[in-house]
Amino acid sequence: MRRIFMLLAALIFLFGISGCGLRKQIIDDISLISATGFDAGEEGVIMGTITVPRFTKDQQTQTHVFKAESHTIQRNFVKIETQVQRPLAIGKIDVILFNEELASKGIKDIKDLFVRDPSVGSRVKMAVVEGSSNDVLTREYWDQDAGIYVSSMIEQGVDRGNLPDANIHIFTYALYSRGQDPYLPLLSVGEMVKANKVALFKEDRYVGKIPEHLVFAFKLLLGEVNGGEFSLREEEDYYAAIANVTVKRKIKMDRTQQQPKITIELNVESSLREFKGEDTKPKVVADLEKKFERTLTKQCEEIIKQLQELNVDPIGLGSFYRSKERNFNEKEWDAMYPDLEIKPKINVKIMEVGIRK
Amino acid sequence: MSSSVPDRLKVSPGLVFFLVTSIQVGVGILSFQTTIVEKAGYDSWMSIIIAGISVHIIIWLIYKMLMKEHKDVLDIHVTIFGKWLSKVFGVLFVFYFILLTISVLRIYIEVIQVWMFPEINLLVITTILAILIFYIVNGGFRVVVGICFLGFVIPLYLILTLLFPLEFAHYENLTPIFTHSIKEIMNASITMTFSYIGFSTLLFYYPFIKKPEKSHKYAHFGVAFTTFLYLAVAFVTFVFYDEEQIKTVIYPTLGIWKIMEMPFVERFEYIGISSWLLVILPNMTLSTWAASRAIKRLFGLKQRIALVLILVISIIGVLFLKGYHMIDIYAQVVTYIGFGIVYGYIPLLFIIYTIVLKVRKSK
Repeated sequence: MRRIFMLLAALIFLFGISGCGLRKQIIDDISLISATGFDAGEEGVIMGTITVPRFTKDQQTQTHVFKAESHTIQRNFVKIETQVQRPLAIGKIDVILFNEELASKGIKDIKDLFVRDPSVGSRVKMAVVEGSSNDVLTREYWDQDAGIYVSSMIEQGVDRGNLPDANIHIFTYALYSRGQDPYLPLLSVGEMVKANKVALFKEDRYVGKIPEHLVFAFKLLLGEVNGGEFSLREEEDYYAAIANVTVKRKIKMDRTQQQPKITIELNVESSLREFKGEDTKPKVVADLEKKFERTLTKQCEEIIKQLQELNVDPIGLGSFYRSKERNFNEKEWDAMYPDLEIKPKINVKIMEVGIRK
Repeated sequence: MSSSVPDRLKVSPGLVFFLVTSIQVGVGILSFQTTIVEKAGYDSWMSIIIAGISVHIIIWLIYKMLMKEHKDVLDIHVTIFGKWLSKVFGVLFVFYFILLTISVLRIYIEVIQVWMFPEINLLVITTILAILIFYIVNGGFRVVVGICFLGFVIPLYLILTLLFPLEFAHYENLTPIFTHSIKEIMNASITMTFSYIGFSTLLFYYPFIKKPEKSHKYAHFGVAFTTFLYLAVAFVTFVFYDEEQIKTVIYPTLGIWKIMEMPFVERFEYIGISSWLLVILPNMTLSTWAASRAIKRLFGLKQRIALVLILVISIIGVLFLKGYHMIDIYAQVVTYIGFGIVYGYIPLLFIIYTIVLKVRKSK
């Protein structure tokens, strides 16, 4: 009895380790998609572009770019599948691009395709492109794969630069949230591709952008700056830049009146990076801090005005209001939001001045 | 047959902690958040506590009942219903445990199919797992307890994975509380109890515990730990997802793992799902053990033959369930039966048993 059982078990085990009838996916035999871009075509056609890195022997990377157009995304993939040498695999995708025209029509359906796929991670980056995403992905980036290059460009902009953090999870969260609207990095396309602006969304539709010189202040308002840089330029004789900026955000709400008054308190700590002027005496530094505060306040007010005009709330003030207000009503908040009194209150501290006096 | 068990087959009372928690935590923890949030939004953390308290009450009832004569539920059936009718009720339990095994097994394979290997051969993977279950249960109750212990200790490291998603936490999601009515919260509590059931196996393994009266507090510790675990997972899920977003997610716990990226593994859910086999193994082994033991006691069949019978039925059952919706409906039916047993049948049995014993004494 026992012997027969053991034999049977061994047989089935051997059968089992032979792979349960699974298809093998060896990394050299599949085309790993590194990035995909979507552009709006005529009459609702969506043009899809994918990049597939090929790693050659001399440590260089080639980009294979494939393109197809159709009314649905899945059909695009099917069309591209007929062009590729090896089967496509989407698990390692790093970045999804949309052009402005497509984004302004809404991107929820396309995004959901990636959210539904279990092999796609939650940290996949999304970005909007001025112009065409096909253009961004077909360019040459030295010996780098286009998809990986664009993805790391956005990543370092988020980690070290002034770009606010955005991935597919953050976007989806803000999309469903009752008191917040999504935002994404916006790539501008010129001689170089730059990740330097922010695209604002109402629901899943792209409605406006934050220009380059305001992106830092926008990130401050989100309260997530950790190591950004900001330069001060006024007509006066001071010219200075701060780096290693960290911010602590406090949102205060005065709910004594019918409409709440909101104060966004930003406590900024930084060190001086560049300074054209006299010695950095305490008095000069204090003066400089005031100047930074004034400029940043002006910029924040400008951003808030723009956000209220577009009636979008990427900062999540609605969500903050909801957490304090028992009878929160999304429609009421939406109607109220453009006329709210929202004040930034910025407090800049320059902690270090570098190693020169 | 009587329920007396020789001492060498018994386990120490402290192990009841693992027996209770490890069968409560199973596939439910992968998806319970969605079901309770649909009912009571982000107030449903209260439902987790309410459901936990109700389970404490039932555990207390079970111990009160079993400690009267130190018998298992089958003997109690005989005392109350007589020799023949008692068999009918015993068979109901057997059916329930088989259905439970199928449910757990199928949902786990469904997760593997959806998340890892869509092409996996259902028959092969089910058979392999069934052989594993046979191997464990064949070793006797002490081996089953060992698996419950390991199924608790080894996957314990998964608790640490709850820290990673906090990078994206929105703590303001948790306030204000009590935005839902008491009725909605109670409704969610009923849904939540589905994630606690399975501990009715206690009715069968009770005679296998050394000094069973001492194990009472460990059973309560077990339930308390399960409650804590569910609360922790729910807390992280609630701050990670938006209330509306979470309703669109089928497996929120696996979704949380998707955000973790490590240098040596692209995403964590592959490790998590693989580790999860150890979490669900106690569910399946303990319930098949209880079913086979019940068959042995009811019909005098050899336990090994009963076990083979149960596993063959389970494999066939698993093969019949196809597609997400069918599995979902099946799992719901099984949980409703479990709910009926835990909150309907057990209290009823307790009352009748108490009355019968009183009447007998007064005679």
